[in-house]
Amino acid sequence: MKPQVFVYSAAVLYGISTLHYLLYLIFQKEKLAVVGLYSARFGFLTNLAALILLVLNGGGASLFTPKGAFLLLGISVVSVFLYYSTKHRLSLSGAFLMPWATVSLLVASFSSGTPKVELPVGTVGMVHIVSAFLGYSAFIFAGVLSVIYLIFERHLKKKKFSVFFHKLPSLSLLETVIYRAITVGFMFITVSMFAGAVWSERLFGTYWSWHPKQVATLISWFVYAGVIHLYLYGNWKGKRLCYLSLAGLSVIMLNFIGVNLLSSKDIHSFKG
Amino acid sequence: MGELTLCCLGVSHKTAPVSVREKFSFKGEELEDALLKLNSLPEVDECFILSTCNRVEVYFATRANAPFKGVIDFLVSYKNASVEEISKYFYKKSQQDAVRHGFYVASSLDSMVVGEPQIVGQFKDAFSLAKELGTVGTVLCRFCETALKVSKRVRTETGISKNAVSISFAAVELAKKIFGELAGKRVAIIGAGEMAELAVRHLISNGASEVLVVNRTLEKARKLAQEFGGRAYPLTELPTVLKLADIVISSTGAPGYVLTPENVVPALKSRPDRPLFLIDIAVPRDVDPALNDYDGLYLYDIDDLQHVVEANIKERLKEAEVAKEIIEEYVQRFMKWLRELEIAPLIAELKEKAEAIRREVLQRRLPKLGLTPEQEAEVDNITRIIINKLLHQPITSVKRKAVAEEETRSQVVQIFREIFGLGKE
Repeated sequence: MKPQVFVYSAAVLYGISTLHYLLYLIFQKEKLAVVGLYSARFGFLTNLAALILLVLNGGGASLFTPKGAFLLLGISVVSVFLYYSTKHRLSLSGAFLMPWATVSLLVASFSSGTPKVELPVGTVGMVHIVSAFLGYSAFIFAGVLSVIYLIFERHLKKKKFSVFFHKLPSLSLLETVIYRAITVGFMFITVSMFAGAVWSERLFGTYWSWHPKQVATLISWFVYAGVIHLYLYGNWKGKRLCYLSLAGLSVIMLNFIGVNLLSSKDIHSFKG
Repeated sequence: MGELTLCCLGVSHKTAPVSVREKFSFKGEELEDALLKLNSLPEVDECFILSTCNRVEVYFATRANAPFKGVIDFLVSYKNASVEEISKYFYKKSQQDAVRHGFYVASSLDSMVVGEPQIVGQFKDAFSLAKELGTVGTVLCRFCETALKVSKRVRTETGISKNAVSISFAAVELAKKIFGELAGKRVAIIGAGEMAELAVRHLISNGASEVLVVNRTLEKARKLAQEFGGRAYPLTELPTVLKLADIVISSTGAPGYVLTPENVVPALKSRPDRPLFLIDIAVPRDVDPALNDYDGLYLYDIDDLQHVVEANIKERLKEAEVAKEIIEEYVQRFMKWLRELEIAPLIAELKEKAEAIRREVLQRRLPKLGLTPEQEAEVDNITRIIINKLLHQPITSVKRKAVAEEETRSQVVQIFREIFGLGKE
């Protein structure tokens, strides 16, 4: 079977899930959230199948193509969501998170899956890219929850008893999950940077070469290290944690869009 | 004798004022006496009475052609009431409607405060009393057990009794929305007052660990602190208390604001990582509303709490719609069971008749054939099989017809009896 079939079906399933979570936000019917959850779960499986088929057909190097990268982004966003939403009853976050997965799968469906150069990938390369995307997803999750936190906080303050008030457990739980997601993301991004350095040494004989991607990632690494420090020792909690988490996410986004999608000079770029 | 009907005759807060409900309510020995007398009526097969402060309902199974008459007459004479009174305030429900109503009541959908949990216990008590006195049989036992099962499912699967619907519980709910777990949180109460003290008690039972009592007179503070097992402070110590507390409930009789930016903001600054939840139950208000603009501080006054309650009631009504879907499933299942129960004696009668014919013919003809015992046994078996196969189709058909169509059921039963020559009951 062609991987493309699975890419399309995963995109459709994520789309269905997104739609139901958005309707859940409006009509607050638990059944809608259930449909959203199940389509996300089935989407996850088809996404996984698409990714496995892609790697089986094209080798490890196909993970480094736009198609591979966006399939990886989709699957890691959804796995982080599925894990936390069932654990902490945060179904509401589906309305904010599933659109990310849907968009990544849509992009994956029409982008190329053939590697631009032959890359000897190996374990180090796999660890590098998989942990990078798991890290991104954790940061995206933290960013999305930060938005939810800020809205929920505002509603509590303004005495607006909306869906956020009725369906969310508590501010303090959201804060804990945001912080935990940031530490997990930080861990993955650190692993990814180390693996990247080792891999770079094997390929090019140098650990660090001040590529734009490396610089930008280093900046976001420092931003998140700062977030964690300020949370632990500077009492930057609650709303301020959310603002920092969003700042960190925007650095990551700029990094990804700027280097991977727009530039053509960097080794990480999809162009060229 | 007509067919078996399950009926409900009752008054509730929806149809009658308290004076009427009071008059018809049954308490203690009176309830036992009424149940036994009711059950001895010739029209009533089974019965039980649910009597709470919001409703009095008689559930009964009957075969009378005018199902309610006997029970109404009984109520009239037992409670010295008039027939007009009963027809004005009581609702009469039968079959499907009675079953559905009973399930709604047990699931607290018909309660004054939808989702309040007491009704389940009251329903259970009414049922077990009737069971003890032997006034409920196959039908009502099954009915009550199903009602209790439904109510449990409704409670666990819908949010019908989840959100707070009283002011003091709303305070607890809000505190949980802010702090998550209340374990380890300090509650301060400024002044005294019934509602404030109730809120503190709810907070404690939900995990809040320490109570700080502030009062203008230290004596009063000490007394209240003793009640809660907390510490007492004079009003001058307010800044210290504000630094310590996570939740502050204010309920003083002071004419002006007791908590203002001047005394709250320094406390707020000393605790950047911990939010402060201020609940102002006093009228006139104790807390300057300007404080709500500060970060990390949540201020709710009595009107806000009232709004929480209203929003929660709306939420419960929405959940009630979900509950109705669950209940409907059980109503249909129960009605199916009831109809099958109705048809059971008919089928038994048919089988008995066939068996009697078979035995009679065999007894007369078998000895003339001069068969060996083995052959005789074989003939016995063959005839049995023929009868079973012959009756299989009519039995399944009549079951299906009788279960499916409410209106034509008695007609179907009638025709069935005529065709097979079954005696009238």
